Amino acid sequence: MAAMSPSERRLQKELMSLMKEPPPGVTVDGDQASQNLTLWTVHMEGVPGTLYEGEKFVLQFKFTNKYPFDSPEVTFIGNNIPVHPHVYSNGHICLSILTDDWSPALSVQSVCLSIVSMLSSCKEKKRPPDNSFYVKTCNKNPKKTKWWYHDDSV
Amino acid sequence: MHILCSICSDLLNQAENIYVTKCGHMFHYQCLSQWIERSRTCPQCRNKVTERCMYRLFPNVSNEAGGEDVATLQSRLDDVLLKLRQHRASCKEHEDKAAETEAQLNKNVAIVKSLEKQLAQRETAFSALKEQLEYLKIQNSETQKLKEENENLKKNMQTLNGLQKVLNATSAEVEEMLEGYTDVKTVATFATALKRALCESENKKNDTRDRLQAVKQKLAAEKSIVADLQSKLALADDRLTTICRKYKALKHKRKSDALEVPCAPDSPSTSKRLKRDPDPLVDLTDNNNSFNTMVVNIENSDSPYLRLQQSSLALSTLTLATQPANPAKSLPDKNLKPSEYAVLNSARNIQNSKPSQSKSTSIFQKKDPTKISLSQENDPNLSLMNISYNGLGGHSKLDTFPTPKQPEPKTRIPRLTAKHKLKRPVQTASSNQDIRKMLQNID
Repeated sequence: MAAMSPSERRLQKELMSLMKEPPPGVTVDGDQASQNLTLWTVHMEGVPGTLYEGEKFVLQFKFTNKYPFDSPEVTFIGNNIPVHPHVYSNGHICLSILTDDWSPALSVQSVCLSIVSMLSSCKEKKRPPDNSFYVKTCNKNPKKTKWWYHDDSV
Repeated sequence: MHILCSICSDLLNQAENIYVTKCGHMFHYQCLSQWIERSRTCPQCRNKVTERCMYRLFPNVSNEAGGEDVATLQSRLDDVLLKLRQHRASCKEHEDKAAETEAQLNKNVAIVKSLEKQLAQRETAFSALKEQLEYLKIQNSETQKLKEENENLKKNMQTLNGLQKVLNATSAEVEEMLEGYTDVKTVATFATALKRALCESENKKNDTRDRLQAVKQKLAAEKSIVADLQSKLALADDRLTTICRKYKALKHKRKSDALEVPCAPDSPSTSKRLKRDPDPLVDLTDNNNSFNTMVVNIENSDSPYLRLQQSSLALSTLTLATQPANPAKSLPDKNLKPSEYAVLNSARNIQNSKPSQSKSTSIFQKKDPTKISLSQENDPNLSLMNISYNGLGGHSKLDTFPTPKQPEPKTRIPRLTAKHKLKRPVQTASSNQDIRKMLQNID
């Protein structure tokens, strides 16, 4: 334990800060995360005043030991997958910071804020246009998908 | 002032290499260089960053407060907490593992116990089986012994069977049997047995021959005795006949005398008595002498067939009966049988009484004197005609010749015959019995 890897140090710090000062509507499952620092479960509530008000979603973060240089794998899990143009029905999220635009300066907290803002900015609840095709053909890992971003505005 | 590296979110200390990008963001050198290998952008503002446009910072930090400010302490606390969390986690893990292991251990202990129990059972069973095995071994050895014994006995029995066959069967069979035998010992046994049997039979034969010889000798002796007796008997018969003849002659004479001189029967009767007196005595003594000697001989005989001294049928009565015959006149013997007594009495009477008395009482003189007297008294003519009543309802002519119808033989013959009969059967019976016994003993 003495030799803690940089990724673990960073994750530990992030977990502590997230538990101490979580963003509104976001709670992290600290016990599970502390058991296994590479697999986090984050509960998220629909922000009041948006289309997802009152809804509850569950996000799953998977980290490699190259974190923070490598981006985390973030998907929606559970029964309630938000119906959103950038969220596929299998839980994959089309978000540039999760792949190409990832930066080590980003954190779980910033990713969560990005997703909340993405959901909050949604004007119409609908699946992505290529949802059914993507769901049939995609890899399990969303990071392997070569995303082309339909809408840079969101 | 506390500056954090946005990549590793650790403090940027003086000791570490602090680099700054062209756009003015500060990072640890290791963190920035690692990121630049992936993407030549600033992690914070995404401006272009290259190795060349990175600069090291050398800040002057005051030594006053040291590292005791709040931020340092916070970071330290964080570290410690992290460590604590990790320790807890590992501890929990270990605890779980320990519990699991303990459960496993308990399980194993139970298994071991059951196995031990099983082992004990097996051991007891094993020991029991061992004992049984031992017992069976002993039994087996015993059985083996018995088998061997049985085998030996069988062999012996076979030999004995052979022996029996050799002794009893016909020679052809024995030969046939012996051809099958190769064992010299058995054959030798047979030979010895046969030899023994032969010796025994020879002995027996000798014995039997000796016995036969003895019996033959005895038979010869008996025969000689019988011949002697027969000759004596013949002699006696001859004597008897001569005496009878004499008597008849005398009778006839007396009759004729009576016819001639009917009133004087004294002389002939006395003469007859005188004549007759010695006769039976001689006869008796003669007879008795020979008879007594025979009895004594028989009694003293060594012959096994004539052991009369020991037998119940002793001949003492005979000797006693015959001995008083000599002094018969003077001594009436109490030991005599009634019949003999009567005979003796009659004899005495004959000797003691007068002829008239004898005529009337004696059975020997029963008819003739009466007839004669009748003829004499009543009708002499009738007497001349020589016809007389015989007392049997008929009449008979008087024989001129001397007739064998005398009273004396009647008296003597019954005595002799009675004694003979008495003697002979006793002798023969006892001898026969003895012979039989002897034969039984021999057998």
